[in-house]
Amino acid sequence: MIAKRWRQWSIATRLIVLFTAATCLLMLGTFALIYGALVRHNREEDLAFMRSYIAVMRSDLMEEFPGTAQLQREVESFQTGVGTTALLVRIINAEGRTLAATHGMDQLLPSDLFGRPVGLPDESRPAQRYLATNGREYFLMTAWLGPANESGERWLLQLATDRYEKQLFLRRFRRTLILLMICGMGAIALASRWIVHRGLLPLGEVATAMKRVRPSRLDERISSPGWPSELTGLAAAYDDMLDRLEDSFTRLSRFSADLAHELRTPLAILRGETEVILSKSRTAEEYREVLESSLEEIHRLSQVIDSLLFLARAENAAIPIERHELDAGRELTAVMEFYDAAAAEAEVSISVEGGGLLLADPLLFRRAVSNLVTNALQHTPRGGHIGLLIEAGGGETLISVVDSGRGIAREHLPRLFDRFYRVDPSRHQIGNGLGLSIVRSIMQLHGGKVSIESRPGEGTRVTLAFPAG
Amino acid sequence: MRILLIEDEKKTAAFIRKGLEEHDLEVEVAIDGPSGLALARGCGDQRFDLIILDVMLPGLDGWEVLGQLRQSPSPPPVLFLTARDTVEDRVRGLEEGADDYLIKPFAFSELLARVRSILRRNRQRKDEKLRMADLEVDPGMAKAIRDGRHLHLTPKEVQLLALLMRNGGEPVSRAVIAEAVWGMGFETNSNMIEAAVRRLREKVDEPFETRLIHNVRGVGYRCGL
Repeated sequence: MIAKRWRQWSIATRLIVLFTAATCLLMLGTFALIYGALVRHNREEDLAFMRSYIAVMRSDLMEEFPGTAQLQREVESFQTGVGTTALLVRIINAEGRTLAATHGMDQLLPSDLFGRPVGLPDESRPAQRYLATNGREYFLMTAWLGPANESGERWLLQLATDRYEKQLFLRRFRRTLILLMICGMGAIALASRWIVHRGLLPLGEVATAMKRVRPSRLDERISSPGWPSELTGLAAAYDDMLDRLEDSFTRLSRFSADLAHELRTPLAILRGETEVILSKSRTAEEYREVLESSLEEIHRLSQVIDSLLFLARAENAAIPIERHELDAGRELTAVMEFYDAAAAEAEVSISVEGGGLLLADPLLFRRAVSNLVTNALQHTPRGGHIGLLIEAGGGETLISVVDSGRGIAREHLPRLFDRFYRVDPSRHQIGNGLGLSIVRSIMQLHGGKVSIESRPGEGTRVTLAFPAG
Repeated sequence: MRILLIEDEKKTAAFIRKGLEEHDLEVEVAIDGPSGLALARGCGDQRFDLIILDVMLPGLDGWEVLGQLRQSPSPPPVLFLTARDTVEDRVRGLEEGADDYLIKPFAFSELLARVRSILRRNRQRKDEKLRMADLEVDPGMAKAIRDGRHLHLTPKEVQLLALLMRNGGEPVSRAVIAEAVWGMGFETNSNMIEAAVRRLREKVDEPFETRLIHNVRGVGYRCGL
């Protein structure tokens, strides 16, 4: 669902969102690191301060055990003169009686909050955190003030640091960071919008260029050295497509014209003959004559239509082919027999050379070869020869129809397989100009290829390459 | 010979009927599926020898008619007509029990040839000797004799001659000839058939007084006096 909606987003939106998200993540990470370091630093500072206080007190009280009043003075002296860290101090004896304490500490942080130090006498407990009733946070620490004195008395030092100032600072700092984040996000979104918009401008220009191409202006091309490198490929591909489109468009319109002509000729004969014969009363023999002629034209028409249907279906691969393993020699001999009489009349000899197996639809194979032989026979003068050659190997079987005919000029070769294409339109030829198109379609159905070589005056060779297996 | 033609297109039905009747076949026409099926089943002893069935029919289409016909005890042979020249259609028709098919538009001579071939099936063996006037052809032995003289024909020429003779004086189209004799089951250049028939004539007709092989313009060739 989300993925689907994401795919519908414009590239600009995607880029802006991704860009902003990435920058925000980066900012968030950086801020979190800075903030974390600050928090850690503050804590370390407080703890270090407390530890150093303990050390000072210990060394102060090492020499002598002062009286309570002096102790109180000592405790009070610390309350002022310390920077942001407000320190609360209490000294109690082993029984828990308070000897001296910062003013007001007993109410806020009673003695029993502080655990007793464990282990060795000079060890202090690690700090504990405590939220007092006034809403402030304190670090609490307990430590022995030193070894027992002569009377066996040991004093315990209870320290508390008020973290209010530092936390206030941290809160403010946090707020600033969040504000910075929000403003930064907005600024980045705006900036990336602008960048993306500018970056994608050429796309719009390409689209405009593409819009210029219309069926009537298929010769427009959009490639220009001005495109950024990402678009040159696109523009070139588009131009390639246009080339092919223009080519097939031209072929198509030529094909329509040819088709109309091909259908119009027999229709004109049918119509003319019928009109003339009906214009007055005729003998049965005359009617018969015209009807017979009509039948011939109708046959011609249906042949064109059948061939076109075959081509259309082959193009959509709607002709299922049944591949059989064929003995190429035998198949070609069968085709040769079909042309036997006609070739003898034309005084052209036909031979089959070579042998091999091939995988093809038998009927389509015969149709392809027979179309080629028909052409060869038509273009080979008396005394000529047509060879049906088989060469197997190299992953394919090659069937060639070679004639010693008139040959075809080079400029016609690329268009020979076009429907209705004729080398010499003025000369009446047998067939409807679809034979080679059908051969090509048959080869495409088989996944094979057809190629043609020709030398004017020497002859023509058409080769069908059938893939093996 | 009685034939039932199930075809909804009037012009088509009319020319098929007329054509078949002129060749001494009795034809009854049904213009839709249900009535065709009723006729095909109806008359007990007046059975049809062949049903010509159009695939596209109102009421009940050709496939359904074919399917229901096959359920009766001994169904008559069926030749189906289809305008859609797709292999699936042909395969389906033959699989569902049709005996042959023909694609519209077809040449009447071809329809006639196929009708004859179905009606003749099982009655005449392929290698049976054929006789016409003083011509005798033995397709099994691939030889032909006319007026007591052995004609030197190639095997294909014997096949071609036998094909023409089997059709009893009716013309055979070039397409049928190309397919039956050379296995060229597609549109081919008619010149090749013409050349083949010319050569056959040189051997079968020219040395003798009466011509047996005739050209029927626009249709094909026939063999007869």
